[in-house]
Amino acid sequence: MLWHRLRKNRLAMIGAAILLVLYTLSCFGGFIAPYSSNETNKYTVKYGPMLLGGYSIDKVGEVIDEDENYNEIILSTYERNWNWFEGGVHFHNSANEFTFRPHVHPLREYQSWDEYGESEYLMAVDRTISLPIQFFVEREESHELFSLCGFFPIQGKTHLMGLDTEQLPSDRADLHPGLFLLGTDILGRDLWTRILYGGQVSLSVGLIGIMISISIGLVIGGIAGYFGGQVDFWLMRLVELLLAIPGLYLILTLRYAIPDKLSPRQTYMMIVAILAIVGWASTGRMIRGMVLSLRESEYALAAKALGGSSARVILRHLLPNTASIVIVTATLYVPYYILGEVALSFLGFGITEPDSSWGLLLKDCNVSEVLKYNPWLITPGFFIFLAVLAYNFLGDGLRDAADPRAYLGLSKKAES
Amino acid sequence: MLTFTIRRLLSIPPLILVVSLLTFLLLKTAPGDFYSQQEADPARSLTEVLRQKESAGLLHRLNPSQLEALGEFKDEGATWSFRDVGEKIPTILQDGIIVEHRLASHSLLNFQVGSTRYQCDDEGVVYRKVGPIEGFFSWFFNALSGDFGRSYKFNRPVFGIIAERLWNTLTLSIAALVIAYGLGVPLGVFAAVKPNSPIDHTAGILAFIGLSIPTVFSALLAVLFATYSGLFPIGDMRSLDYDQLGFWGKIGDRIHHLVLPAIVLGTSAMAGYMRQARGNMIEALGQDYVRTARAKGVPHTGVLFKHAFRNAVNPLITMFGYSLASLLSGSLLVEIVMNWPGLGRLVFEAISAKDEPLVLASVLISTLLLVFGNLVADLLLALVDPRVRLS
Repeated sequence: MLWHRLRKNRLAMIGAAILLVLYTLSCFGGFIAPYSSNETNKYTVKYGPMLLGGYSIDKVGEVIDEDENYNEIILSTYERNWNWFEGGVHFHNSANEFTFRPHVHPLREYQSWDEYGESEYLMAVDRTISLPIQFFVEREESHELFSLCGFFPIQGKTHLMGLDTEQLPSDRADLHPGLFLLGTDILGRDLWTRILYGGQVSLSVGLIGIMISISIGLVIGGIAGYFGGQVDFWLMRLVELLLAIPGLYLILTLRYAIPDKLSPRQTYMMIVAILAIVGWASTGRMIRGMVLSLRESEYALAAKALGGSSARVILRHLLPNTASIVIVTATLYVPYYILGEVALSFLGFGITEPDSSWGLLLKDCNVSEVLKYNPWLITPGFFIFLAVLAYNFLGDGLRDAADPRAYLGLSKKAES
Repeated sequence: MLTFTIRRLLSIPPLILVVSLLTFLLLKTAPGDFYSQQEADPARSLTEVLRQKESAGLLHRLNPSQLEALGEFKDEGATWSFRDVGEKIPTILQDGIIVEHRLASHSLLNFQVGSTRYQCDDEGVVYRKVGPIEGFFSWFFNALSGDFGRSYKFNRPVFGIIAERLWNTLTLSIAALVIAYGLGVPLGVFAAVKPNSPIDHTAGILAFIGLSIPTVFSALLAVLFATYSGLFPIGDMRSLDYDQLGFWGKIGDRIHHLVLPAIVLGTSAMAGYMRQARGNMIEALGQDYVRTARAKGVPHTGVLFKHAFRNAVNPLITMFGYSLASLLSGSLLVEIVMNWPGLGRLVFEAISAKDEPLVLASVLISTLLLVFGNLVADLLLALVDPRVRLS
């Protein structure tokens, strides 16, 4: 029933589709990514996204200087310009013949001198050479083709995409081939690769966190609602305590109490634990309210009268009846966990280098100079937005589907 | 209503007590503190650092007779004891032999007898480390008399620092609320008047986007926009030449700096109001009194604005108490990205610097704000809507 109504909701289906794509991408991240997660390259630092264009270089002047033997030499001053949809991924080979296989130009480094004798290296495309992108390439080092946030890994050497560098002249040391669809970060790592690996963390934190906090919420809310009295009173005071402290402040204070030096796995667990501790309170309160009203229902009384133990009545009769609402709330709350991880990592208290997460990737943007000259570094934020949007679409659709009154456009008053 | 208010007000002190105890204990479980780095720094005088710790209430100085009473204890493979020789500082014995204070402090910088921990500086002054519970109560009784401690980093009473930053955060939050109400409510009402029209659908999608866009992302986008367009300043609350501006110039400069962060912070709240306003308005338009008014021949705009709108918007006005509380938490990231010197950034800086009194006081103040905001919202709701019964 729920599924039927959900399928008619277009936005919810779009949300589900986006989530499916995002989770598939991150699960197969190691396979889809052209590089490994931490492949730094000093020659390709801060290069723009090849999907959108490339840098061209122009000689703008000359500087006359002397070499060590006091001979006059001429040094060039270059200026680098970004070209939209030019010099990036293209469909012709080195001989300028059209092909269906996408190609990219290799990067060439230019040493540009200014009038003070200072030089800097500028990376721009070499238009004379086109390197074909190959699919299902084998690389030497082994990596995880598939993993569910680090579990059930399948090892392999295949990458979905890679660059064929055979056509690259071997005597040219100034050419650096690279397949950077979304650009590179401040350490020359491929951003697309980092986003895929970062998604494994950012997307799974939400799911695992919500599962833990829903479990805590179910147990505590169930107990509080069923037994009432003193148990209920004190558990609800605990919930109020947790809800009284502004969320992010509580998260940061909890983080403060934990040692800084943690292994990647421990950091991950820590983030999930913190988010679940902060997050269970509101679900717990909601479930308590529902159990409180269901407790007096005929089937619960019947189960009790038939000699069912408290645990049995709570687990077998009361909690299953809260399922649809729990699923809806869980879906609507997942974004808070994703954003919690993003906030922690962005502030430097969560996932740390060399690991990757969407929040951590955004941290580089927090310097306005870096952001100004490398605006593509903001791309991970778009992925966070997409994930949150998809969860909201889906959650909203689920809510409408679970509540037929809302679905039919009737208000409660109109019905009664 | 009066009993409700009194009961809610009475529940605040215990809540604050528990929140402060919890925060205090969390801060104390953390490994190391503000001074650990200074202790390890050979360029700093250990005596001075420990004296600072004492004045911060972390250590308690012991006199020689108390130290002699400790008896013999083992530390780093040697047996140590103190002897009271009638001077201000005790003589330190290592395996029964008198050692120089400076040498002894190498081993005795941190030592433990039983479950109590001590520190000894290089002049032979020995301190007892104040335990978390004891520390909490001494902090708490000071707090009762209005002394919330001094910030380690700024070396000023925390209250002054927080008051300054809190004002900035409130300015930002209120500006964000103004934007959220000013745009959200009219849009929502507009969408509700013509449900399922293209305007309604567009507004719905916009609401989804506003609700889903992470504040970090929108703040970074705003910074990007400011750098490329040059229309807005990139951060901070005022320009460098602020002091030279006239009265109106100062106000203009402040507003100029406020606009972008307020829009970023207001976006998500705006989307929420818009949905709420739409829902309320649709419900109000379906009510009997609206039909009656129409039947009486009240003109369309009159029905919309006099009958439906007032009923639809009442609960929204009261929501600002809840929103203020959530904006407080939400503004943290905006403040950090957009360099706004508010409470959220203060907490972040204090946590990074391990400035415990400042963290504690900020968490308390923000909790108080949140609790009061919720209380005011509940009361307003009851005041405005006679159907709501508070008990």
